[in-house]
Amino acid sequence: MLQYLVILLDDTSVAYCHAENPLKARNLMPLDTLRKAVLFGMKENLMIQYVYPEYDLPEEYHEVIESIDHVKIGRDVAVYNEVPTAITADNAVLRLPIADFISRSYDIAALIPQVKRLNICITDIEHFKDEQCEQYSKALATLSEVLLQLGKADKQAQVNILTDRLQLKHMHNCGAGDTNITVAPNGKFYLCPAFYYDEKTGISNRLNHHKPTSERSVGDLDYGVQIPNPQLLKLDHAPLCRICDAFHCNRCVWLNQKLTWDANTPSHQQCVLAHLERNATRDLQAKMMEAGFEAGEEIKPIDYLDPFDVREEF
Amino acid sequence: MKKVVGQVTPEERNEIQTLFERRNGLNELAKILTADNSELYEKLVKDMGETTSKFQNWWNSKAQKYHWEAVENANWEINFETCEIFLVLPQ
Repeated sequence: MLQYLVILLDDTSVAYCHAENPLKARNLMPLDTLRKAVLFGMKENLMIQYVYPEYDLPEEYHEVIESIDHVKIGRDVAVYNEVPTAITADNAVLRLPIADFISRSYDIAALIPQVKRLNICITDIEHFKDEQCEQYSKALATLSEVLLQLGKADKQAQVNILTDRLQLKHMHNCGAGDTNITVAPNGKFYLCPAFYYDEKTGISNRLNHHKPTSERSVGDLDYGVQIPNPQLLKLDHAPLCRICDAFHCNRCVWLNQKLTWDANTPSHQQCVLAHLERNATRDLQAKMMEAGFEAGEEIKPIDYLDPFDVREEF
Repeated sequence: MKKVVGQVTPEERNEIQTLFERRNGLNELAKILTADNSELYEKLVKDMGETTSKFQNWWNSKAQKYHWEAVENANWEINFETCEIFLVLPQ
């Protein structure tokens, strides 16, 4: 069931997830389209997430924007594409290639006491190599140490890849096309902003079996959301994911279709990273419990990093 | 009491603002880390030392460059918005 509506206010709205935004020319969503999008959100009882461009919007947009409960990505939620020296927002997204995450883990850890929540988003998951597992785990341990010491000092911060799994009891993933949908400046719906970028840049949609096309829209504001075979985006149609316990895994639909040619099947890289994070969370949980903190349901030890490798026993 | 004694360029302001933010961030980290977290702690101590000395070097080099007025027991401050340098006199 849809819960969130992402409204891309402009073609140059900030990238806040795995995909880069390659669009450089401004194309502001027309005011009428924005009104329709807000009305759609109201009628469907959706939480609105506006994605802002860097420039200031015209005055007349503010009244429409403020007419409904929302979060402003690129404003309230700060988005960084490199490790900053300081973070002034309570909530921040840090988008980094994996090599930078590994090499700058100490600098990232130093930012944790400054935020309430830090979402770390690896921007080149497709290039992750199994040989990087140890380095990635070490980087996670560096961040984990700071989280533990914060807890001991009676302070709290969340880092998505380390603390989300502590609280989750079932899968909570990307949800593009399932729990959230994106409306672009053209008034059409897309599973997420990345699908809009792919359409705009003419990348062929190989999931379309009928004809070569880059079209990726799944409905529009006049006719509503129309996702063909929507069940194929759902967890209960993902045989391994539905019994996996890396509950915080992104299961990024865009990366799935890009790397496995199936929107509902994560890549080996995605599975391995999610399981390294799960195991780092398990280590953090053990240390928290040792220090006398409540740390959620015990995360069990496992001997695999990609469920596909052990699919017969899984 | 404080009074304006000079101004730096926006680029120079950015240098000291970055060091200022970095130093504050490290101070926050220092509040929660102890020597028990040996690897992180050692890195932090080294980093704090380096940042503090870069911070002081900035003030020394700019004071030399701009010849700001100085008074014993007073200190300089910068307004990050305007790039102005103030001499803050002791009460």
